[in-house]
Amino acid sequence: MLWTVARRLVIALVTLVLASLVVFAAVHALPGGPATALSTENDNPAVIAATAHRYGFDQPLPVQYVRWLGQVAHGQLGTSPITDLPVSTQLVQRIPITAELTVLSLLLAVVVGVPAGVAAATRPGRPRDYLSGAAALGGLSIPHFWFGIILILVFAVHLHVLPSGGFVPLSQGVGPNLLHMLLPVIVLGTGLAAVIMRQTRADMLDVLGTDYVRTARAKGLPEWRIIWVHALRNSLITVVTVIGLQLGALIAGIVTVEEVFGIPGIGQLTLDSVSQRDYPTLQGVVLLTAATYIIANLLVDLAYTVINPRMRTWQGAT
Amino acid sequence: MTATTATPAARPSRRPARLPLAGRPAARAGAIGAALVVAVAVFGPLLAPASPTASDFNAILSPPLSPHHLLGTDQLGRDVLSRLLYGARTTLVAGIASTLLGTVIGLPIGLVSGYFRGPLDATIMRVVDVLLAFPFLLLAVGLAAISGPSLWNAVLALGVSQVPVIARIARGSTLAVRDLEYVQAAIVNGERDLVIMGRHMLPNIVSPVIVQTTVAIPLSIVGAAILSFLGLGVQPPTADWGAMLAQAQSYLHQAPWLGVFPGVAIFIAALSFNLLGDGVRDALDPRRRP
Amino acid sequence: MTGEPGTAAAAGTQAGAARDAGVLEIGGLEVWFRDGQGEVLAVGGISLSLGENEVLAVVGESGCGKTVTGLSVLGLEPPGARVSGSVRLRGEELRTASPRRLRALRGREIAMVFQEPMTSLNPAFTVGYQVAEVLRQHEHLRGRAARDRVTELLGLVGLPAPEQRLRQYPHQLSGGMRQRVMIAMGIACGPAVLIADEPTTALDPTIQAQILDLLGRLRARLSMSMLLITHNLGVVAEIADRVLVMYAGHKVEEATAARLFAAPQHPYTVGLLNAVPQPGASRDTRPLTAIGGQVPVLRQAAESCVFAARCPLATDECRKEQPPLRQVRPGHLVACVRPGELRRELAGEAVRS
Repeated sequence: MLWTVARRLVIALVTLVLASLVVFAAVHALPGGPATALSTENDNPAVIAATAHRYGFDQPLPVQYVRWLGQVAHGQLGTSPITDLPVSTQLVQRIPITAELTVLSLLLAVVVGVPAGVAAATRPGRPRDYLSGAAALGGLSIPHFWFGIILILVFAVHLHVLPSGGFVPLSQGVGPNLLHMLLPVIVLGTGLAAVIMRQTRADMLDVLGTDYVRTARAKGLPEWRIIWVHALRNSLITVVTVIGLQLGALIAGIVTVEEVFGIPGIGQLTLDSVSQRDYPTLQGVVLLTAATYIIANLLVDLAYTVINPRMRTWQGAT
Repeated sequence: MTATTATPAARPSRRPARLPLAGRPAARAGAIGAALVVAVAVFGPLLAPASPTASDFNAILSPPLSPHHLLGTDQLGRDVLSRLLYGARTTLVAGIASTLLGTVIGLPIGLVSGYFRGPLDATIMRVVDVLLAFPFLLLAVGLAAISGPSLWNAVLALGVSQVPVIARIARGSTLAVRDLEYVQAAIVNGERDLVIMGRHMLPNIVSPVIVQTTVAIPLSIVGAAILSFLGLGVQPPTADWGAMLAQAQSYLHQAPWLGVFPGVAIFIAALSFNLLGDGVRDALDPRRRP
Repeated sequence: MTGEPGTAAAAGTQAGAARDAGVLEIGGLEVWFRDGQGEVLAVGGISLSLGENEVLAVVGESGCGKTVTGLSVLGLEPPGARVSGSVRLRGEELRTASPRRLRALRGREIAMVFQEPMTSLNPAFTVGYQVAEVLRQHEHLRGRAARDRVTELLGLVGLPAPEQRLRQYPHQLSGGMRQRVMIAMGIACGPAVLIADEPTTALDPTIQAQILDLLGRLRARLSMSMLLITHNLGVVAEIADRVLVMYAGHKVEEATAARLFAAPQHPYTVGLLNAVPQPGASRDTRPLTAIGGQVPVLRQAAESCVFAARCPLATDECRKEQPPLRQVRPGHLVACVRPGELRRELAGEAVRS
């Protein structure tokens, strides 16, 4: 088992390196050349030269890459020409905000999606199955940024019940913080909940037809125990897998939700840096996102590996 | 005169010979919706009452059911209905073209990788997996940084991001078919690799890839809308549903309808293709039950 | 009502009454399944009586409805099945019992051991946990007490090093060991009736013998009645007191094991016995005779003898109705208009009279 873990770690590392190569190549494709793009003041030749020297852009390519990688790995991501703040500072400031948004949304998605999937699976063909199925389909098809806009229209503009955006740090009160997070979390969590619900339902249907569930019934166990202990345990792995598969969509979701609701997180920073041509910040954000994505995938993979050996037989258990 | 049916115990036959979507009203609704969207994309511009970029400064932010403007106008006095009709094109093109791109690139990669196996396979897959590290948004951001945002960049980003998935599916199917006897026979007979791949393996891997496309198209449509919403795709003044929604954000108080119609359009398009896709998948795989 | 009209029913119940009401009484059990084209009759009016401490084997080929019969006793028939008839455990009618009552009885008074030990155990939980679950549910045993009892049970079913098994997962055990675990789960609460559905089919022949041996010992030790469902006549010979032969959902013969093997009356039973190789008969060089044809799928109540299509003795009389069960000797019932005419082919003997 340790061997598999080590293997996955190595693969993730390799992917990280390869990804950095891609970013490196992209940096070289930026308008004006890498040195100009990454400079704090891109019309000051002295500054440009200094940047070039620091990253090694005046050296042969392989050396460039190593030096650039070194800088990047040490968090020396340069300074934003727009805000004059070090890129790393900006990133560190915003990470907790995006993290809170993500975690709350994942929580909502699981808390809503799994029970809905179970409810649908235990009464297939009945009204509540069709209802949840329709809701899931809706959740999948609605572009979440539109959903966000609609929610803002209804709750903020018309009913004045919730704020239309912005962020209140926890230090200024848990209540206001959560109030501002409510709509964004609903928007982000809904799409994921829909996918989770569908997958949970499908898995539960499979599991409920297995021999070991029949054995559990023959033992006289109450239905709730059969569903929530025996059946769900085997479906849990699904949730993990689904989240893993949805990570890409989640990233897009985070960016759009932060944009729609004006939340000062990493997503918003990404968009701003594109439109403002703030290349140092953009480089930092892209690297951070790619690295996070790879690590997240790795974690999901590891979780799968850990749960899986015990599940080896379940694939033939129907 | 035996009344007992003497037929051997038979399974109920699951012949897909009947019209696949016959018993599924949801799938039919999806097919109709999808056809409608495509029709609008193709013929919309012919039906539009006005040019999508023509500004009527006398009628800025008019609500729906105003004279000449069935669905109202936006902040520059442009007819919303016309923009919606034209916008169908960009959205659909982006959605379908990107999936097509991903398939055209991904399928051969997977096919070759699965066919030759060994170190070539491992290398190709490793490289393809790197792409998995870049969700389509990042790709779009990168492309936008390098050569400015555009529809083409959006399509490229969306398409390239689908390559790993399609390549994987194609490879998996190829591997499964690779060891079948008639393929072995063809190899032994000395048929050329290209011919074997094209004639023997391709037909078998088409099915799962098609299934993937049915999943991918609605996702691409929404993805394209997201990109143009974020300003990473189509640029103004081109009419596009996502871009329209982006602009609508600033006028939610005065003109809420601007934020409703384009979204409804995207929703209908995505939903239709989703339902259609579900129906196609069920028809191809009898094991799947709703 | 198929299977037992008129006088034969009296004969049947007479035989039953002679033995006094058994622990488990099944009366006229009928099960219909729905498929894509309508309904299929899986069990067509079965009645049986299982006495105290008795092993009744229900025999038939695959698809004859014997498993469904077993499942129906527990109320575990597949969803969508239409069941009618009576199932009484010590006089209590189970088919009208509340779901709560059924759950209280399952695992406690009636237990079932299934065919596939591979897939019948939950792969996500340890063996100890799964056996303890029955104890916890019905006898409210927890913690140390439960663990000890589980260890004792695992030892009882012949698992070596039971304390270590507690923490093991199903995939870590062999097929035979898993089946022993299933049996342990079954006998944990000392049920009155143990229904064993093909308990040895999925196992190696050597293990089969061990499991049968185990079942025999357990029956003696725990004074348990067993309903043994199998298609393997060797198993029947080993362990059964009485045998019930099923075909296409109908009972075609019932007798003590000894009688059945010595003088089978129904052509189907004869066919079954003929198809089994005779161990030890070194001079037995006759070819095995298979019964041609396949089990019919009944879409309505049987209107002729269900075996008529494959029976070498079939006449027009046979095709008029499903023959009622007739008693040919005390305790020996046959549903045939020409019982005993097809003699079992013993090495060198006459075939037909």
